[in-house]
Amino acid sequence: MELSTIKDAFDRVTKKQKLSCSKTQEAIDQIRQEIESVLDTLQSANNTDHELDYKTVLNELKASFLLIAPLSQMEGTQKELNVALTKYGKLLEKHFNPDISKAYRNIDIDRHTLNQIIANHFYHQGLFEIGDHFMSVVGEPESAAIMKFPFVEMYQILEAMQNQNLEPALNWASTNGDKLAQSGSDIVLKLHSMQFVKVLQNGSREEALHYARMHLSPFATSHMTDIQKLMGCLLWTGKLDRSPYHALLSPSNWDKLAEELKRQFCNLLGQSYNSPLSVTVAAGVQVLPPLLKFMNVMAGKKNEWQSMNQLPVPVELDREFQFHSIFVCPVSKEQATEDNPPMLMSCGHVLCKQSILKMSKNSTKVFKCPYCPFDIDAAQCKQLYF
Amino acid sequence: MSLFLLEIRQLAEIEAMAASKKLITREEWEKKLSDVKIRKEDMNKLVMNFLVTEGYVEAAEKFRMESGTEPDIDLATITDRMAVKKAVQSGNVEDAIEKVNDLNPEILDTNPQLFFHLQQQRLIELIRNGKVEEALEFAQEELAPRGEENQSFLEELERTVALLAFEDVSNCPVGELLDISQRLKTASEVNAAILTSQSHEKDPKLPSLLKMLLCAQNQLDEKAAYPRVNDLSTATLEDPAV
Repeated sequence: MELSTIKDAFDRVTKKQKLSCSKTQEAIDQIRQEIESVLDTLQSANNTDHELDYKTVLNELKASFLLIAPLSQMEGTQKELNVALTKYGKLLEKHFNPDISKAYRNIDIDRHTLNQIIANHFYHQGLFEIGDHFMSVVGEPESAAIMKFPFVEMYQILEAMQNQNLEPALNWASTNGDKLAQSGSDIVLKLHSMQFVKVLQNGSREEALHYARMHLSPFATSHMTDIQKLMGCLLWTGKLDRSPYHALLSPSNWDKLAEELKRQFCNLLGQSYNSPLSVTVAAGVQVLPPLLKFMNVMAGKKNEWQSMNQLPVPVELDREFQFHSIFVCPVSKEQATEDNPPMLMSCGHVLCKQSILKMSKNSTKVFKCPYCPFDIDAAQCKQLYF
Repeated sequence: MSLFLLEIRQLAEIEAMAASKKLITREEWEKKLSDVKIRKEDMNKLVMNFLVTEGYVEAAEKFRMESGTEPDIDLATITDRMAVKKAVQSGNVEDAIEKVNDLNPEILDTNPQLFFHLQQQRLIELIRNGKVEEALEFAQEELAPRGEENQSFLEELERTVALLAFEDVSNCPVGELLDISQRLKTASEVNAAILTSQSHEKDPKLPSLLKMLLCAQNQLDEKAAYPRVNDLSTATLEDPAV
């Protein structure tokens, strides 16, 4: 394993460094002792009015320094440390090629779009000052306000939630209730549930019951089980932490709720939960190693790489980086479903699973792709994820 | 075309099966039935068992006098049992619990589920009468501790307390708890427990026999066409459809 080799090399460096350090310390201590001894001698001579030959004393000190030989003491260990460091550096260069330029193309990127992506990332993370500063540096301060505005509201809500104040979140949820319901989100109920528990925690059963009647009962048709559990909490007012519902008081519930709110907020904005920049970087990190490896092998063919229409090597990305729109099978003319998902054939064309099974006589025969002359083996088809 | 042929083949098979079914005429059937002998005492015992189990105490007493059939339990206990049942059915659960304990204190001691259901019914009655605060206090004191010990009790308790989340219970998904059927269910459970404590079956034998009759007829239908009993209330034999 590559990393274990690197770790061993790093351990060697630290070992040599510790040895060098202790040797140096040893030499310094010896020198200090000699100097202190001479100082004592001089001090006692002063006190007793005893005549002392300073030259002799200093010559003796010089002689003892030559005897200690601090430089030669330190030189050996220092040399060993330098050798280990050099080896470590070379090993790092070998395994972690810092020059990634070999694996990307020189594409003209629209500066404005790039600036927007970077600023969006800052605002997405709630780094508003940095985002504003960046936009003013690149000379686009006017678009900053438009980009920033929705995220400011989101982070105000999240900040309030950190202080266990759900009012802003509940206001946002009631304003966007219809849209949230359309997207199949139950965040509104989750917020009301959390508020209900909070009211109950403050010790008012009557107030909590009133809150349940006002805000929880409308969810009865779809979330009755959740409501039943919350209503059960009423019987442990004041001792919820010692009840079957103590899990509702876990601080992690606030974190989960905040994360869910951020997800739904971004969804309503038409944005992804993670900023496009962070998704791109994360996906790039996965793709880079095989591409760098390929480019090292194909060292002399840089120009070919620049003109290729598709990636020269198969690249496996995790599911979270696989984005596909709604798919209609060109053979069956049916929209793909969970039971009948789109499948990528070895030639790069896509059909739905049922069509592939039909054409391959239940994966028993090789069949021809309806779009190209390729022979397709059903077993080698890969599922695409939405 | 092949689908059409398949349809024809299936129809032919159905006809063949119908043709292969044995046809039993009314005369043959009645003769078979007349050959079966049932003792009068057995019939009387079945009737008495039904009257006792269902709690028709006066009818049981008259039937005893007229037929000389002795019930297998003291008829006086039926009156007590029916009083308990009636108390639950009218929503007077406290009274019912008291009566059960007078009848046999061990019944509720040895049956925690029944006791929980009676207490749950009491909670339902408090909610029905709009005594919200009293209902919550009662549930907290009496039912919550049992819910902590038993997950299924806790779930039933949650369902019941959930009634309080709705000012208009007609739109409530657990509104059936306030139906009369819920009282009947609890009353039936108490009734069964009392019968069991008296070493008596909790269900009468007569309905079981009728179920067996229907089951046997359904099985026989596959093999033969015969005069069937379609209406249990009249027990009339109906000619087989040829």
